[in-house]
Amino acid sequence: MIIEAISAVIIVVIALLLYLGGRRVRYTSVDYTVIGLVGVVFGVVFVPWWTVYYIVKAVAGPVGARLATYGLWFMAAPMAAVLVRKPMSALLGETVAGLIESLIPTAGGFTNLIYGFAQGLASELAYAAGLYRSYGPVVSALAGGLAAFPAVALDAVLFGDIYPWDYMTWIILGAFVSGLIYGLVAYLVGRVVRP
Amino acid sequence: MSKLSVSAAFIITLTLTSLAFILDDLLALALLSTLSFALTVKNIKKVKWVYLLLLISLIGVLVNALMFSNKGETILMVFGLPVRWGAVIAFAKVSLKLLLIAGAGSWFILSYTPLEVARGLERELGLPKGVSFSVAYAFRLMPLLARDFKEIQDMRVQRGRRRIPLTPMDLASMLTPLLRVGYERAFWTGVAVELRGFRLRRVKREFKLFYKNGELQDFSAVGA
Amino acid sequence: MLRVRELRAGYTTRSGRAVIEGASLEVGDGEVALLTGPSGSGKTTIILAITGVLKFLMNGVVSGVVELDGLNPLSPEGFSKLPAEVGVVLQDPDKQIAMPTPMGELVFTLENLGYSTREAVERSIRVLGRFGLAGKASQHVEDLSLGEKRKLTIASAIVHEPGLVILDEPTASLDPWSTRSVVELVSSMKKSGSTILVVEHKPFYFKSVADKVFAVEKGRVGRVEPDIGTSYPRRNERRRRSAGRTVLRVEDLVAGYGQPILTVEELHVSEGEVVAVVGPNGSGKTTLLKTIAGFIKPVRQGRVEKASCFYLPQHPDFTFISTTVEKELRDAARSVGFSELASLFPWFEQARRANPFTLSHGQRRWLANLVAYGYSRKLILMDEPSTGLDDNMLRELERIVDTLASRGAGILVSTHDPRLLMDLADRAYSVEGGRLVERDPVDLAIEMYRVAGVRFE
Repeated sequence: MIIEAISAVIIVVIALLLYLGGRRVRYTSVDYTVIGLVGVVFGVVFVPWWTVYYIVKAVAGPVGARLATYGLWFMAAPMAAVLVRKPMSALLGETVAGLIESLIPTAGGFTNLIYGFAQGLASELAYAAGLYRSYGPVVSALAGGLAAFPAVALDAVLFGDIYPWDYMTWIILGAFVSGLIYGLVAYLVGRVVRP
Repeated sequence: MSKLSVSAAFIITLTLTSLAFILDDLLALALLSTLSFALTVKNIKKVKWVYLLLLISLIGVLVNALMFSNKGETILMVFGLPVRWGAVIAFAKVSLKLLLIAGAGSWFILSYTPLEVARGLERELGLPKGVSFSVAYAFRLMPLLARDFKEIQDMRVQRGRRRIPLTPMDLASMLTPLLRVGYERAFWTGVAVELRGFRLRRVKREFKLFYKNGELQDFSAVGA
Repeated sequence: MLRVRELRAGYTTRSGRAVIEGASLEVGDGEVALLTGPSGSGKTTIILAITGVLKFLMNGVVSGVVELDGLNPLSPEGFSKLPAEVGVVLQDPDKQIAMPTPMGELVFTLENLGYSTREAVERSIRVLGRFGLAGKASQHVEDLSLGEKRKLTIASAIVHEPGLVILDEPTASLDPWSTRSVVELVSSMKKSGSTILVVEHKPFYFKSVADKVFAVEKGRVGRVEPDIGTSYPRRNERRRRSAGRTVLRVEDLVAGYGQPILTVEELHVSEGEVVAVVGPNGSGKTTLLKTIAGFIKPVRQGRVEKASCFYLPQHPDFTFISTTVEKELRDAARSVGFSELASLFPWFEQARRANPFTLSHGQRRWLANLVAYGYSRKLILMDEPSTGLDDNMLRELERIVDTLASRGAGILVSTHDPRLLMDLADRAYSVEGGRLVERDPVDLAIEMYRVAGVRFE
């Protein structure tokens, strides 16, 4: 309970800081339509991906499944950031994708929004750490990777997916590497889509 | 007849979903999940897939419970393996949490159309107009993108590739055309929207708990 | 009142070259003016420039005097106030409809301009009724036909009754039936007193309503033609392609998704021949092509004998799967050698390492067609290839199709574009009452022009 409360406080503080930092940026209508586009593409792709996840999990176990598939759920943030290239775009992209997924019938319901917001925040930190100067491959991969931490933490709370420490490290590492790979893919796609 | 407002329902659903994360008490979880499931029973046909998927995912939950929480008193033996009290409790808890999440989410979706949600969040909860617009635009695109995606899949089959993306590279080669065509559309839609006065849009913010008769009609005439 | 003096406009500060150099035009209150000219002449650029879009949203450079109903859209205040006074309709409906439902679309415009929800809803219901969309007010916009989507875009631009309406190529990719209803809409807007500027490279569609015509050429406007020629289209004395062996024969096929949409009693395509399947939007042309390609199960199988074939979608971009042009062509070299494919692609040397998606529109179309040819040099199925193409791009398409046909590929193309029938098709089938009937392509084209309301002299 205490750990959850502390994490909640951290999340709120980060959100507030980012909000204050990003307030000066002007978003145009084009930025918003692009966020909507990323949201619907990933909101819709996310849904059948669960099937892939379960198949891989059956074959490769929890760590392998996270390594191979988790990154896709982190991809909306770097994708939106690479296409919009403004502060807060990663957070917005992942949150809107999560909201879209919450508004279409899935078993996940509003958890999609909660995961989306938390992952988006983590990804946004990568771009913020680069002072919003770079939307390149390294930062984008990192944006994907960082989302692994809130995702694994929320899994632990919700599903009781609490493993022994050494195993947990592997799970986080698997999800993190997966995030790196898919974040890089997002960058490669984005570079072609918006030259 | 008055109807619960989008924002009130949104907050309730979000709270119920958060409770699924936080609550650890079996009885409270049982009560809340039964309640949220009951709210969806009337229209259960529309969300039957949700519950079907939920049932499938329970298999994974069961395996997890047996692997990591199988402690305490043995209750019964299945194929020579002991099923202990801890596993039963863990399975029941996670299942009820998932039922609560699925039930609450389905209730919200069954109550409002996506456009109503976007508009309601904008004018009642103060969601920035741009974000609300993003959500509405996303739902405008959904069938169009589904069709594009199908076309891309057909093309891949025609060129002797996998229909379902299994590697990150597969995924990249499917996302690129989808987003490329989509980006062009999104760009011009942004321009068109600007020419229709989006920057002038001012929303009168007003939190409501319920919509009264007339308001509801105004609101739902805008449709799905 | 629309007045433009000495307009100069260009896209980037770097290139320096202006696309529009010294354009002047004037449209009086209640007049309908056409702005016409070949593609690449800068028609659309003029529209983007005089609405302030080029300057404020696309970082372009614009100078000159523009006055739209007393507003100067090149000043920030003027650009902000523009939406209340001017309605703008852009080319492709899919690139401007922003809301999931027709009702939402109209209410969105009105609310932006300060109407209350109640007023907005009432007014939208009225306008949707006038446009014949009342029955679909709350349906998803993707359930509308292309013609209905076009009407919706016009409705959402004029729902607040602006004095000035600007339409950019409103008939592009519409079938003749929808084209006619757009012309009628413009005519009824004129009767209610609006000032209207229509950009159109097929000006004869609007001959009956136009008061004046401006021609754009190489970035200059000036010449005012009072008259638009609509001489009777001459039967082209073109080289008939010699047909070889049959590569596709279809008999007794019923296409559709579960429900029958289109019945084919007889259809055949021979080597080196261009055959068109013609019909309005939604008549099942695409369904037929996809059925022949094997993506859709037919309602009744009948008899289909075909060489190996390749289906080319409306968006050529969907064909690509590789990251460079060279990989794309190497992968496609199945029935034709790679070096032959590469030699057919005019930009191969410069572009071999480029990502296909970064090529220009014309280059992407060439590449997609060559991929199709690489997979199947016998039979290519093209779905609505002329959608959204202006005359120059259409000529490029003709060159591609000619090149492939002269090498012996049989080409079956679905279309509702009379230009394609006039210039490209050797034979044509028309969808009439859910059945496919063979017709002479030129006769069919003239009939379609008539349906669209063109009166030949």
